[in-house]
Amino acid sequence: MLRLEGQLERWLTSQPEYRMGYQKVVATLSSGAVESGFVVNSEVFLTEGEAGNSPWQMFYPDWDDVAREAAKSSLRVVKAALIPRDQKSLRGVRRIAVSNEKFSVLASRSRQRADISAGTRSLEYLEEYRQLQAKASDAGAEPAPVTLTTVGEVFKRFSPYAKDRRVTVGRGLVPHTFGTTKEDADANVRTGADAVSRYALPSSKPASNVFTISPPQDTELKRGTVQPANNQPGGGVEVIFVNGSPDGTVTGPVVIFDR
Amino acid sequence: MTTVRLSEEWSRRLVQMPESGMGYQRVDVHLKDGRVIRNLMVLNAEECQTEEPFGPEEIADIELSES
Repeated sequence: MLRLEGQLERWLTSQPEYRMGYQKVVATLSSGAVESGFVVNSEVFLTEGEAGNSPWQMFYPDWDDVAREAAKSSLRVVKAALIPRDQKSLRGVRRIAVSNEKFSVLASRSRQRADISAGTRSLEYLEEYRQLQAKASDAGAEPAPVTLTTVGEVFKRFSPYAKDRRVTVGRGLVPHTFGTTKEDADANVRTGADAVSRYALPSSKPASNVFTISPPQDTELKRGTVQPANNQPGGGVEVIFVNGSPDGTVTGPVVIFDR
Repeated sequence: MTTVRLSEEWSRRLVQMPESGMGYQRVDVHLKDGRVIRNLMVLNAEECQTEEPFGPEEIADIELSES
């Protein structure tokens, strides 16, 4: 775990991420050695061995601890060559989903404006809301094309029920079961009530049971954005396991706080 | 809103059908007296939420709602 030269930190901040929160690089160290690894938060370099498969899976109670740990070494990363992500793995569906999520957010904003406005202005905002809502409505996972999972991708499923019937006896998933990405869950869901809101669940009970799904590479999946429904705003990432997930790929549930 | 607990037989059948969202299905329930109650939510393939109460033994068929 190493710090980067200040200039390199600034440069990396302006460069594309490999995935959420990190960049993949070939780093040249101040000793002249060359190492492959990841730069997390444009700030700390981890070798591939230190990071494991997914840098965001590291658990540190405090980011400052990570930075302090990295600063203990006199070595610095002085140069980094970015390894871009394979364009094929940035599936078009994801780009569509993100694009439609934008309309979903804008629609929600127009709705709020309509609620606090009066007369003609309110009607204008309502019309704007309806138009944006229509654009966003194509974003759900159901109409999306089938894509494939990549190596090491992890998904989450939130349920009010510890005994989720979509989870098979062999700890797999039955076909056409919904979930979300680990990234979306980690970044947005702290409680069962958060899950109900983000994934627009109809349940009056918090979805506090969290299942983790680690499907093999090339598992068939549809990806999209949760549309507002069931009096909930939605906005989360939703995936559908088209043919389910094989036995032995589901763990949990881990129980999170209800609220 | 009433919750109707479905029999194990219906639950097993629903599990074989696609979800409408994470953990739920939107269904039309056909009753033995000919009534059809549309667009009901079933959670975890076992709890059917309805404003028009019926007994689980009255169910003749359940299918996924089209909308």
